[in-house]
Amino acid sequence: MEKDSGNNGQLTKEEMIELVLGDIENVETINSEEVAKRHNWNHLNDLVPVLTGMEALELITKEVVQQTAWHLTAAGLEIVQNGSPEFRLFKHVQSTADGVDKKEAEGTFGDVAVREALKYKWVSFVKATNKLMKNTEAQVEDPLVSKLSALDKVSANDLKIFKRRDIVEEKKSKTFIVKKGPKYTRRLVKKELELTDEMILTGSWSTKEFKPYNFNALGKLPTIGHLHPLLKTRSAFREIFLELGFEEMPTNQYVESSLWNFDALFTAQQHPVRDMQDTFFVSDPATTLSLPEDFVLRTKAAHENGGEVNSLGWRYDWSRTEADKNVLRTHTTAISIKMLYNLAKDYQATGVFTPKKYFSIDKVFRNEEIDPTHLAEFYQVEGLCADYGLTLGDLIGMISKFFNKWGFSNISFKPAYNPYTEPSAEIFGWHEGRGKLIEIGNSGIFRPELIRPLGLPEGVNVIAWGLGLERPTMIRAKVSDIREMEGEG
Amino acid sequence: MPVVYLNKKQLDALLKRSFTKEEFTQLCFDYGLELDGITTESDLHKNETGETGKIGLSEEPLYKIEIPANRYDLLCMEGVARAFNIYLGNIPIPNYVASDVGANKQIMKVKSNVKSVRPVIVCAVLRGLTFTKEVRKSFIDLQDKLHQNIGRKRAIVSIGTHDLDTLQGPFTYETRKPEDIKFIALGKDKETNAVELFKQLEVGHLAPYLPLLKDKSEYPVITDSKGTVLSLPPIINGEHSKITLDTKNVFIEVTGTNLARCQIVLNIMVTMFSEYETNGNKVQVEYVEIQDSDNTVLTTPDLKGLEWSIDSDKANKYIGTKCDNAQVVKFLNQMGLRGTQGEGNNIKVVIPPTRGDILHAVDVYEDIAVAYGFNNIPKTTPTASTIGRQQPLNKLTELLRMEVAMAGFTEVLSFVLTSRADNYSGLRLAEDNRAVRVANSVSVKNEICRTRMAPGLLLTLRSNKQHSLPIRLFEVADVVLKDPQNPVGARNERHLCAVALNKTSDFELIHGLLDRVMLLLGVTPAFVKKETKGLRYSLEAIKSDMYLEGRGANVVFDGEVIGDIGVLHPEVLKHFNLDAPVSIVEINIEPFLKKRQSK
Repeated sequence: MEKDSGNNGQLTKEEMIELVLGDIENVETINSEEVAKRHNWNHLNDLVPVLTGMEALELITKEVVQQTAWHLTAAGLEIVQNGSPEFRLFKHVQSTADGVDKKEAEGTFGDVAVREALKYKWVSFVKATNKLMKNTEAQVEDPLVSKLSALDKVSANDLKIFKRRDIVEEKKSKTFIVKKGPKYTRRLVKKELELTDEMILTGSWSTKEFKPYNFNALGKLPTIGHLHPLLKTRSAFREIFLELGFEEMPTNQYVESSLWNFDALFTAQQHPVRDMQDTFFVSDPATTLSLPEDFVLRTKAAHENGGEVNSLGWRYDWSRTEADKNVLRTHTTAISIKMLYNLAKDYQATGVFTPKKYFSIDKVFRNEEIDPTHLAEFYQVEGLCADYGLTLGDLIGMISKFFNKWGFSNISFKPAYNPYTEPSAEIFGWHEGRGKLIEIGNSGIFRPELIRPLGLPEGVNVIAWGLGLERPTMIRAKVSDIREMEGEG
Repeated sequence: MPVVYLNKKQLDALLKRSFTKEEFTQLCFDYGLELDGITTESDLHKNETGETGKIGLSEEPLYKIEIPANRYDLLCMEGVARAFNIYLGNIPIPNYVASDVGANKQIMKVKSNVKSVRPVIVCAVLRGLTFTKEVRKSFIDLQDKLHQNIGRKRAIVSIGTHDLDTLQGPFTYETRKPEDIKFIALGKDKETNAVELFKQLEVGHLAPYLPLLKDKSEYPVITDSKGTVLSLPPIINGEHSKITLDTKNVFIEVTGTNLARCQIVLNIMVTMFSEYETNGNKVQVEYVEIQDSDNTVLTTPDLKGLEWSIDSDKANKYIGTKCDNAQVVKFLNQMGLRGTQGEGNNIKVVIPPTRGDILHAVDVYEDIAVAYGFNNIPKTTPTASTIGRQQPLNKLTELLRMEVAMAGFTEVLSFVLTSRADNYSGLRLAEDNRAVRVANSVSVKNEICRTRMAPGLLLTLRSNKQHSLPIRLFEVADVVLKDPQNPVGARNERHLCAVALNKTSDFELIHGLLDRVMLLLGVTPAFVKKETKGLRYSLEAIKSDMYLEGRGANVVFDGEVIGDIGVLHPEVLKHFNLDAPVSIVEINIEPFLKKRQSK
């Protein structure tokens, strides 16, 4: 049980409460100071906290009494113990035969003592010798001691004099008039904090009183796990794709050859995205171990002169060395194009083309300085559909359905440029919070220069779109610094 | 994406209409440009330099417009105004022509020694162009934009423009030893040779281009018949032939490494300024004859454009529209592609020399779609029935993430890229040559791909250690390992890693989490005697410097080591700046999938 800090730890708070309850059992009111005195408690430190607690429990009520009282100073206390200076002077003079030199007496006992002793005629003064002589053999009382012992009976005038002598002082004090409260009871009923298994087992709960809860406070937080907000968004997007009948692509391959990351996507070898300052190149393993050679040749032709496709191509000398260079993939489209390559191989083996809807959400890498809106690695969401005769109308229709599910109702499309899609469209959504259109993704129809070398049948079009995972999450979570989303932070 | 700044007043004047911000934003959006904001020259200067109140800078509104990277014809006021004027029906599609001036034709003689340095040169003459301050600024800015974009910072294409009247053809394009190239370079007052010049240019805005020639023993140089140096491509022109406000006739030389790109750039330079008139006379474009050392001759510029025919049905089917041929022609014309109806669905279309971005019929289809309005196209959806499917590994990942989070762990998202110090020595592990190395990372933080999840989680612990204990984190993600079996030489591997930081080591908790994961995967501890068959796992004590002595074990699943578990060595904690014990488990979750498949 909790021990009270005052009272030398002798009594518990409950024991003290019980004593106070006893004190007012048979009286109408009682002064707290009296209670303190009775039990030899310190009024302020021991009793007041107990009374406050009792009042909160409505066992008592209390009223403040402000009062001033006279107290002895240290000098006053000394007088009560050892007698007043005039009395001590009297005793001293009495003990001598030929008196005491007045000057000397004033020095030892003080001017006041000499004056008072003369006033009471306990001593007399002989001018010729300048000495104080004893005046009487009689034992006299020390009136000051008796007055100081009962200050409450001292006249106001005397108190004034005593105050001047610095032997009394006036102190303000706060005491309480204590009365029984509405829930007064002679014996304290102990309230239980919690219901326990023991109470249930013994049935003792039925005789217990329970301490009321404070419902205007917070509870204790349970141990909880959390999912990362960005990955919650990933799960939400996966769900949307799955609802729309899309098949997930195996994107767990971060290291990719430049062929699949760039060349297969008809990105010219001089394109700035292939610069060292944009892409992470890999120094070990620096080059890919193998590439599908037939596809390499068709890709080379598409770049140089359009190849089998009626296109001008990029018109430069395509370099195999560049295609062999390994990079940390800059987009998941590197995987998408491989999926289409495998789909084309199926078609060539079976003669049957199977329409597909693919999606992926995974990490991509860019050689960027990390700042509030850029990371060196981030998530890309990608969706694509491959079938005969897909149109730009299918692309914008599909994307609208996709974003409707994410909560964007007003989707619009801006013509744009991507090296590997034509037409290309940036996707804009109306952002209620910001009151403006914001770019939420990019899309397009894969160019024939990259579809045909894959070996997909004539007439098959691939529509695709992509977006970052961070931006929609930040918009929803109202985060403005991308670094709060990923990494150590 | 390239950005151009265009004076609103000038553009309004050229478009003969005052656009509101909303109207102009919509016009750009529909055409495929993006109005990024409206500023002023003076604000722009302030933002770039921090200086305020520079006198002479305009306070007039300046559009900041983002241009698609392949539309080199929209990199200047002339080009944007022309494209919009055609789109809005204000002007007809211009005819771009060059004239053959016979014996007066300028000639560029190309020596064979340029082949190994900068093999391509194409040229043109613009006659009768009046340079106002605005025209000259646009003329210079356009060259700069072309250098940066299609020119790949002058590596593939660079442009030199000259006051033709200060020169005397025929011209020569050759290479010479740097010390033999002596001229007064643009903006200089003294003649120097190229070696001295390069020293001077090492500081300043041309410094980034010097490496293009630095390692060559001979530098390319263009001179006139008197030996006057026109330019030292791709670095700098000569002072002698510089364009001034008095220049009337311009000689343009474009050099580089790729003919197609050089021609596109020359065509843009020519066509952007050939529409100006002086006293009612249009600027004349003249052919220049490029005479190669092998006696072949190329006449440039080639402004004929490409004559293609497209099938309107195919175009409609690509876009998802049902436009008749007349509409298709109208849309083509709106985009500056001159269309004429032919037989049936055949439509003849002329790709003008301004449109180097067009490679294939689909590029033409896109222009039709732009003129139609992307947002007017009926929205349809693919009709094929397909069945959704998750990757098994990702499905397993999702299930495990939920379960581990439900066990009271907080998911983190750490970086794949890490430093060798964090991945190896910080964990007191020797380098094992399994890590994929990045060739060009700016920061050591991005030196390698992680081979373990541990560093990322420990760094996250470090950043969050001010929070009240215990801290329990986890992540299910990929590490990357070199692998000669993989076609590219490296593969991902999906790991589950969990860490617990507490006043005491909390190993039981991490162990309990592993047990929980195994239970969910239907794997039984090896020490449990059970009648039923099934996959088993066990912990086998290991000596690893990563762990406190006697507190580390391998996690063995069906006879295969799939990871490890233990109490981290205090020196590891020190490396990651952690001041309380950490228990950790990290396992490869892919074997669970394989076993399931093989079962």
